[in-house]
Order: sequence, then C-alpha cells, then structure tokens
Amino acid sequence: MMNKLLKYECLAVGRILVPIWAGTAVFALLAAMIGRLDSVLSGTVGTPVSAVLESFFQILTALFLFATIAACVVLNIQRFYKLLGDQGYLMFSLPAAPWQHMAAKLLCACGSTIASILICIGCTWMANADGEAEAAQTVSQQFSLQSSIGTVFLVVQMVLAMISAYLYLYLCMAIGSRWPQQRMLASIVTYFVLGFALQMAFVLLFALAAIAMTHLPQSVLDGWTRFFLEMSLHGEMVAGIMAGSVLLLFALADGILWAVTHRLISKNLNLP
Amino acid sequence: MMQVIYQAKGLCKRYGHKTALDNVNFEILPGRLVGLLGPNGSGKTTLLKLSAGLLSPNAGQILIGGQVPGVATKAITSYLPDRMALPVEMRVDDVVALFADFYADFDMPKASRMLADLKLDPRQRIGTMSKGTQEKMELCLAMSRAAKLYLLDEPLGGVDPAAREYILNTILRNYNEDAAVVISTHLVEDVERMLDEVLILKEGQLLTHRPVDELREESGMSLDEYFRTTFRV
Amino acid sequence: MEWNIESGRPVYLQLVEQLELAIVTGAMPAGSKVPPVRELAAQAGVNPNTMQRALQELESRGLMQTHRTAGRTVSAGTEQLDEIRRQRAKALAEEFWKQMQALGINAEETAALLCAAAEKETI
Repeated sequence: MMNKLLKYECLAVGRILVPIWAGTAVFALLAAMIGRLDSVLSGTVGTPVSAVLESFFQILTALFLFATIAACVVLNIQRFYKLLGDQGYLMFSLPAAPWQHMAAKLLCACGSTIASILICIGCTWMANADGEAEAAQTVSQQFSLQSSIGTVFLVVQMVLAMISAYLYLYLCMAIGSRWPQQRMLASIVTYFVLGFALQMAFVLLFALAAIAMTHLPQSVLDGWTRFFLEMSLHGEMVAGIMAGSVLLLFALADGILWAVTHRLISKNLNLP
Repeated sequence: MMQVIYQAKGLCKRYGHKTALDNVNFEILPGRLVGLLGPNGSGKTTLLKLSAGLLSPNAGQILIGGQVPGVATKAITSYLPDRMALPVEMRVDDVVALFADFYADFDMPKASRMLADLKLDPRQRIGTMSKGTQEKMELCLAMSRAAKLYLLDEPLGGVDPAAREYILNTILRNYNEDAAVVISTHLVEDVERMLDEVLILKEGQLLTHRPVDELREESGMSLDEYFRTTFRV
Repeated sequence: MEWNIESGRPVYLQLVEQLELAIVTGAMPAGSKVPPVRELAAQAGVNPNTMQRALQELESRGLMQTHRTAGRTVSAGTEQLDEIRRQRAKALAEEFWKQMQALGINAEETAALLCAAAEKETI
C-alpha cells in the first residue's frame, strides 16, 4: 500500500514539477551559453550591450530558480491541504492507514524539495561556470570544505529542518481542518498563532532556566564550572556532542510534530 | 446461521454540543438491501461516515465483518459519499486505474463496460463532465467493487429522474449478493420497492428497524406515506 | 412482461400475484424457463430477496419447479391453471357486479352490457 501511495504521489507531483525543472534547466543553459559567448558578443555588439544581456539573463535565471523552489513548496503544501478536503473522501476510504498517507506526502515533499534545490545548485553552477577548469575547481572546493563529517552533519541538519518545516505546516493544516467551513483561514491563523505561542514558550523556558540556575547552590555551580573547563580541553568532542544534541532536538521536534498531526488526522479527522 | 456483516452497538457521535447520533444499535445480515431514511440532520451521513472510517465515534462502536472501521474494513467496504470525491483534474481512466490499483476486489472489465454504457471518453477530465454524469460515474465505480458492504450516501441526490432510474437499476443489477447494501436517501418513493429493510433515524436516534413489507402490511401504507406521516411537521 | 408494482402494498404479495397472472395468461408459458432471480428483480425494480421469496411461494403452490440442472421452469398443469383462471374470473366478476350495483344498474342491464361489450370485441 505504501509503495502505491508513494507512486501516485510522485507521479502527481512530478507532473507539475518536471516541466518546471526542465524549463529552469533550459533557461540556465541559455544563460550559460550567453555567458560563454560574452567575448564574441562584446566584439560584435559592444561591451555594454553584452553586459546588459548577460545580467538580464542572470536575473531571469535567478527568478526562475526562486520560482522553482517556491512552486515546489507551494505544491507540496497544496497537496496536503487537498488531502484534508474533498479529496479526503476518496483517499481515506482507500485501505491504507492515515500514517501511510502522511508518510507518502512527506517523503515526496522532502524528495521533491531536495531535487529542486539540487537542480537550482546545478543551474547556478552551470550559469556561472566559465569553463571546465573553473567548474572542477569549484567542485573540489566544495568537497574539501571543513571535514566531510561536518558536511554530513550540515546535510542531515538541513534535512531534519526541512522535515520539521513541512510537518509544522501539516500540523497547522490539520488543526485548521477543525473549522471545515473556514479551513484556509483557520490554517493560516493557526500558523501564526501556534508559531508565536511556541516562540513565547521557548523564551519562557529559557527565562525560567536562567532564573533557576541563579538559585542553584554554589557547590553545584562550582561543579559545573569544573566540568566545562574539563570539556573545553576536548574541543572536538564538545563540538561533536553539541552537534549531536542539535540533531537529537530536531529529531525530537519532528517526532512530536508527527505524533500530534497523526493523532489529529486519524482520530479527529474532520472532512468538510 | 449467517454472520452479521454490519452492526452498531451503542453508537454515539457528537459535534461539539450537538448530538449527531445517540445510542444507535442495529444488526444487518449479508444480502440485505437496507434503506437508511430520515429527515435532514437526522444523522444519516454521520452514520455512513463513521462506518466508512472517516469519523471516530465518541462512544460505542461499529463493526463491519466483526472489526472496527480501519484498513481491513475499508478493503471490504464500498463507500459512495454524498459529495463529489473524485479529483476533478483526473481523467476517467486514471481514476479507474487508481481503483484497480488500491482495491483488490475491483472488477475492471465490469467497470469499463459500465462506463462505456455511459458513453464516457476514457481520456476525459472529470471536471468537464456534467454533475449527473459525475454521479453516475462515481456510482459505477462503487458498484464495480465486489465488496461485502456497500454504503451509498444519497446516490440519487441532485440527479434527474431518468438518471435516477439508471442509478437504481445499476445498483440492483450489480451488487454482490453476499453483501449488504445501505442506501441513504430522502427520495423514499423512488427506492422503496427495492428495499428489504429500513432504518429510520430521527434526530440521531434509531426510530425503527423493520422489514419494509412488514411495515407496509401493518400500516397499510407505502413506505413513502409512512415516512411522511411519521415526520409530519 | 409488464410489471406494475405499487408502493402501498407489500411488494412480495404483488410479485406473487403478477407472476401468477403471467403464467395464467401465457406470458410465461408452461414448461418455459424462468429468468434468473436477479434479472427478474431488475426488470421489476425490486430487490432480489423479495423476488426470490415470491418465486419460492409460487414453487410451493406448484406453479414453478426448480430442477437441479435446468434451473427454474413453469410447471403448472393445465387443470391447475384452469382452476386459477376460474378463481380469478370469479373474483373479477364479483367485483364487477359490486361496482355495477353501486352505480344502481340491475342484473339484467349488467348482463346486456356485458354481451354488448363482447360483441363489440368480436366485430
């Protein structure tokens, strides 16, 4: 069942995104070719004109890239929104568990977003590279950036962040569907209200923690100071632990967002 | 002794302060054509949505084939909602393929035949069809499944009389006789000849659950007349 | 055959009546095969369970028979059919006479009216 859902989801998303990706790639190619022809152009039509043309195409390419990512995100939001609308009657009647629907949508959303980002990176690279030599240089630069572990950490971090962004949107839509008559409005309101509430909650949490710490007995504070001094001698390990904690926190947040959203669409499904 | 295919036990559903269903109990055996009747707001659609697994009850339970609504019951239940549920941007053959893909009991040749009878172009988008044709198409898809329970919510709603006859005929000719069929409607006159039994709901409570011929004999009226008399304002 | 099912009376009874009539008038001749339940039910616009009950009733009256291989056939013997015809004719006549009486027409006039109607048919 999961495979089938994924297949349909990918096909539906692909139907819209693949032409957009193709269009963007073609445009980047054009911009790249114009860039390469720079010397020729400046010879024939004069440097100012060729410069203008080049910038024109670069701006357009940038717009296209932005539009690609935007379209991808909007499309994925729309698909989940529709799932909780009339389409839900068809979808939730299928012999599949609610979590499978969620998972299929989330996987496709993340997959298509990653693909869009990669395409954008590829296009940028293509539009700006002025020859194979520079291209090779750029690529090798990317791979020697920091340590490879650092890059892996960054990538995992970004994926987890992306998941949490989508899950947060899904959650807002799930909450918004409790008002089926004004579902759109309710979802948007939830987005802002919940976001604000969560921010306030965190601020409060940190404030309380800070206050609590000032009331701790001196012995405990001394103990901690010694601990941190020890740790600062093992710089890499500290960095590793902190990085790991950040990942864990995001994973935890993702888990909570998933659980609440799943609960809402399985036990409290409220189709219009 | 046939096993009950569809039953409700102490079923309750509330929307906020409004009670949609209040302590509903019934048992339906396979092979029965059951009418689900009641005025607007009596809980018919809520009952069907609960049975299709699109809502969760506040109390009590529904059992289909002995199980609460979930993945297993959805595989043996064919639900036709009272609203257009098919994505309007999809084409006819896409939807048929979707049904065939997800439902093991979907009879593809039968569906193709029925849709051909409707003179539908398989590449046509659902959004471009008239409402009546959309309804007929949805019904054909629902009846092309060899389900154990058919839940049809207002299959005759908003359709002209000729189409209504077609729909009723389609239901009669195509349902799986080991299955139970529940038809919710307020067009009693049109369906009453077809029905074995009737469930009459009033303000969320089950007023009557009787075989129709029994009701006719006892009251000396048609089901339509009985219904009007019961709910006379 | 034409079905005329009203909603005011139990459907099952009407089906039995109309099937019997079809057999008597020869619309469903003796020895002919009875269409499958589902088909008959769809024609009449009733559900197969009710049609099945009606057919079983006709079987118990001896008007139909189910063979293991051949399915259901009309098995009414001529005497049986004649008997049914007579019963129905008698009932119709009595009903007709009651209606004539209600109009205030006496027996002689009634008989004359009937003969005139019969002659009109043969001309």
